[in-house]
Amino acid sequence: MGTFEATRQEQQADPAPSESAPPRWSGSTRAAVGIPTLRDTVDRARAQALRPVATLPGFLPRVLLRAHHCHGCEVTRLQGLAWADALLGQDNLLAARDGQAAADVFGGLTEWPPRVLYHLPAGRGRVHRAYLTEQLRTLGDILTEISDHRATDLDWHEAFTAEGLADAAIAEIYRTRHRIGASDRDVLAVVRSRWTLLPDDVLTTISRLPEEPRSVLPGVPVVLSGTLTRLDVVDNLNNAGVRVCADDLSTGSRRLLPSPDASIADPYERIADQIIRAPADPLRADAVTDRVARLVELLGTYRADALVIVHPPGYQLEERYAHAVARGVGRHGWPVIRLVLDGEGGLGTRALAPLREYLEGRS
Amino acid sequence: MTGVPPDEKGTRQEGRAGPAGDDPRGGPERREYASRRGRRARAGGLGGGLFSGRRRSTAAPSNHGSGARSAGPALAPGLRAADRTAELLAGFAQDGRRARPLVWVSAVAPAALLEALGCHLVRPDLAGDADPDTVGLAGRRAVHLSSPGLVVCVTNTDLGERTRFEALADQRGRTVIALDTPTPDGHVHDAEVGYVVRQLEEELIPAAERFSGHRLDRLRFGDAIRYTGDALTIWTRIVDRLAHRPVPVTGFDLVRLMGPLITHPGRPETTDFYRRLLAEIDERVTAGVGAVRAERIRLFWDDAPVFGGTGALERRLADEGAAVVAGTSALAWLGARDVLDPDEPLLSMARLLLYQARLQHPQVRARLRADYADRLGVDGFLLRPGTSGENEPLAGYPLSSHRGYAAWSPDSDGDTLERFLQRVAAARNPAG
Repeated sequence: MGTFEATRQEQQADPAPSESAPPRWSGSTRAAVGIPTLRDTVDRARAQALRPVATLPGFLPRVLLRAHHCHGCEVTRLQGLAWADALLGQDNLLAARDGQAAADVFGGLTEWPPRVLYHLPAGRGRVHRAYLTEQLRTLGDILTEISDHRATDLDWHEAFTAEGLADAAIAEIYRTRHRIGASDRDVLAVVRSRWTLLPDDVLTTISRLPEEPRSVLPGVPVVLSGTLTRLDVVDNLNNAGVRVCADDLSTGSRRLLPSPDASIADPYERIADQIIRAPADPLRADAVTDRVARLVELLGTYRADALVIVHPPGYQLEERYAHAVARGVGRHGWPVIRLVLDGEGGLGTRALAPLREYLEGRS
Repeated sequence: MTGVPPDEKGTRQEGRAGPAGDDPRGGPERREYASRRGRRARAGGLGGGLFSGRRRSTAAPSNHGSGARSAGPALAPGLRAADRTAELLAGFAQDGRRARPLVWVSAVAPAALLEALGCHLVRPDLAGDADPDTVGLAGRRAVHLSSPGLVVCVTNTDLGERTRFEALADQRGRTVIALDTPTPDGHVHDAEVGYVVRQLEEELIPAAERFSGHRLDRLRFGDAIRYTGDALTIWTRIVDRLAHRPVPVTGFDLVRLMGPLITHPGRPETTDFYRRLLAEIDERVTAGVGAVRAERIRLFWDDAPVFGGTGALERRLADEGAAVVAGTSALAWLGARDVLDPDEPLLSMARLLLYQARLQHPQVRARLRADYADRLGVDGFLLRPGTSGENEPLAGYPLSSHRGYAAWSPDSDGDTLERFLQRVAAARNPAG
């Protein structure tokens, strides 16, 4: 666990979140679905006596934060963080690849907010579980210092309940996707908002998704895997002739934690157990075979016709695995289409060519 | 880096690993790989892709396997010890063929432990692209590879290397033991040491014992740690010699000479090899012989280990009077001797892994670079391009950490290496 000294100067100077640095998925989707802004979320967190904490993409123990009277809002850039009482991230080298090394970025920051690094074990065995549990305990101590509040039994209960409801609601979106009358883009935007919104707001936002059951949704059903930086890419995919019936996105279902095991009394162990049981993820150095098994399961469960892997150019975390994952899934008989985003994170005509080729081949 | 020398035709005959290491599918599984040079060029490596215009097709490949470089008019003849690298590694490989199981290891790996478990280690140089079919051994035009029985790597060093190991193991149905070596703040703490020890005890050792059929010989393990410490001590002295002007051995040489330290650090032969290397370097220092004949610029190579294709770059720099006096990877072991205790071999192994992994922390790297740039009298930095140094957050790292030193990478927009060298030379000698 690493912590870094920081001063509060910048925080005093600019206590409000900067609207100049909204999450990337803001835009028409936010308005259409009614997703609260970052500023709203920070204000509401403070109103609930929760300390807002900026979090880097990755596995965030949200229950741990809430039990310690903190709330995590995911950020994709490190400017304008004066609203945050701390910045929390994984030291994980793989997470570091996203944009710049997290540690690199941390090293470049010398002022507010204070930074906390924890390590997400690259493995899922007994040893990794024990180490993760200790990491979480240490992180809990640091959060106690930030919020000046040590979690009580009541806090843990409330946190597990609130965050568990939000997780369950997101999981339900995937299960009932075919009954939701919103675009793929809007659905994925709501899923992403899970990593920023307060749990109550997640439930409210989901309740706003329209129910317009259709017997057959248009487009070839696919599982979308990889990393997106812009959600308009999903519009491009829809326009090309596919629909996303399930995802294995780095900001989507990969990060959904399974339900907590109530038989585990110690809350830190319970959270560690959830994280250890989370879906296979390249971020966690999971074996290719485990990733293939998960993708094959998604393809079967959601009756998809193909797997679409998409990632930014040169994004090692996805790119390095793509070949082996594609081959593994291909062995099970599913077509796999790899799409590389352009430099701006978009998906133009040229980048869509492999998908069009696949669709033409079907027809 | 590899534990097996090339044969006379430049091909690698490595299909006779011990029974446990032999691929159960036998000969057909072994395959001859096509030109490595072309792949390197496609992968954009320093030697093949970016400087290929100056590369001579007949140049001997520079890599850990041979340890030697070809001299040019501006370069002093290679070290005698460098020639012995191939000999030494050939001897290790010969040992490895005597019924010892084959284990592939990453650049950072618990080599001393695996050796004490009776494993024969090979550190393959995996190609730069994502296709695991392109695996090969360093700098060879064509290679044969036996499938390993076990693959051991460390998760916190080189993402590209690790994923290629995983993909390869997946392709060949082999087990990967990926050791997690966290250093969140760039320091080695007891909690992390304990974590790595438990991984070694509960995962690696049982797997390697099953695989090799040998129980861990604690006495042999302690000896291996002792020899590792001795080799590291000598390595530190070698690095100290880099402060001499002219520099007696280049950073490129050091990368080539790291081979035995990576795969066979726990052998007395390795310690002896570095002892003789140090003696030869001291001869050069005494005689005032420089690795670059007309050294006028001293550069720091902020490298990841490159296992082939640096010869052309080295000759090109030497033609301009530029000597690469050190590289980051050569400095990775400095101070590591202090974390070793032969009476606590497992703890030592864990500490050593973490010590090396901590070099991934950008602040640690920056501090190391800055310290040694000053100590070695460096005039500028050569940075690797982002495309081939995926484990090195260099291109984006603020060069202010280098205290205003000039720096160049192939990614530098509108700047050529020649212009960079001229600029550095002018800054060094404004009157000239």
